[in-house]
Amino acid sequence: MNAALLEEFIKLHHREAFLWARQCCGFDSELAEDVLQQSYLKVLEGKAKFHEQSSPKTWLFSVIRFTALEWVKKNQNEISLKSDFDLEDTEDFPEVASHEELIQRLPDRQKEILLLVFYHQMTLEKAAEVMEVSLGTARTHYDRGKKKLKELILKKQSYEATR
Amino acid sequence: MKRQDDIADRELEMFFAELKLQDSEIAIPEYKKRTPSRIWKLLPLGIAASVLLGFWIWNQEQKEEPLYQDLIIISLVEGENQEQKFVIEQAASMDVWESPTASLLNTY
Repeated sequence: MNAALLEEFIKLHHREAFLWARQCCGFDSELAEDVLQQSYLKVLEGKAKFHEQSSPKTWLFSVIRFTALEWVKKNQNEISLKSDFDLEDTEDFPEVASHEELIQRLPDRQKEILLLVFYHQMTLEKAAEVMEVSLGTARTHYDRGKKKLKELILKKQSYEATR
Repeated sequence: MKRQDDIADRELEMFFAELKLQDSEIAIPEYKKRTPSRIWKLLPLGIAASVLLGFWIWNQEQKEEPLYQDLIIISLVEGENQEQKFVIEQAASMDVWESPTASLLNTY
C-alpha cells in the first residue's frame, strides 16, 4: 500500500480509529488524541508496516492498541493485575454507573475483545489478530467477558429497580 | 443453553448499541495531516557541517601565533672586569635567543 492510499485509508477510518484509541486509553479523549497521532506517525513514517497478512483495519487497530499500551507503560510503572486476571469485585456498586464505567470494570483483555466484537463488529479471528493472541485465548476472554459484563448489567438493573 | 446465550448476546448487543449512540455525541478531533519528520534527510548535511567544522578547528591549531612586535631580551652579563651589566637585545622569536652561558655546555 503506497503512502497516498494509506493516508486515504486512515482518513476513511479516522472516526472509528479515534473511538478505538479512546477505548484503549480508558475512555480518555485527550490521551486518545495523542495516541492516535503517534499511531498515524508510525504508519506514515513506515515504522509500522502493513504486510497484507491481515486486513488494513485489523492492522491499524493493532498499531493503535500497541501504541496505547506503550504510552500507558511509559507513563505508569505499575503493571496492572487487572489486565490478565479476574479479580474479585469488592467495591460497592456506584449509584450511577455509565456504560463506560461498566466496561472499565472488566479486565483489560475482556474489555478489548468485547469492544472489538460487539462495538467494532469484528469477528473473533480478527479481534484475536488485533490483540495478538491465539483464537483459543481470544475465545476464553470473550466468554468470560460476556459473562462478567452480563453480571454487571444485571447488578446495575437490580440496583436501579430497588431505588 | 444456546438460547440463553443468544439472549445474553442480544442484551450485550443492545448495551453496545446504546454505547455507540452515546459516542455519536463525542467530538471527533479533525484528521490533521502530519508530514512525517524528514530529519533523516538532513543527516548528510549534518555530516558535511561536522567535517567542515573539524577541518576549521584543525587549521586553527596549526596556525602559528606571531610574536607581538619584537621580543626584548634583557640579560645580566658579567664583564671582563667582573662588573655586572645588562645587555638588552631585540629578537623576532625566542628561537634566536641564546643563553650567555650556553657555551659552557659545549665546553664540558
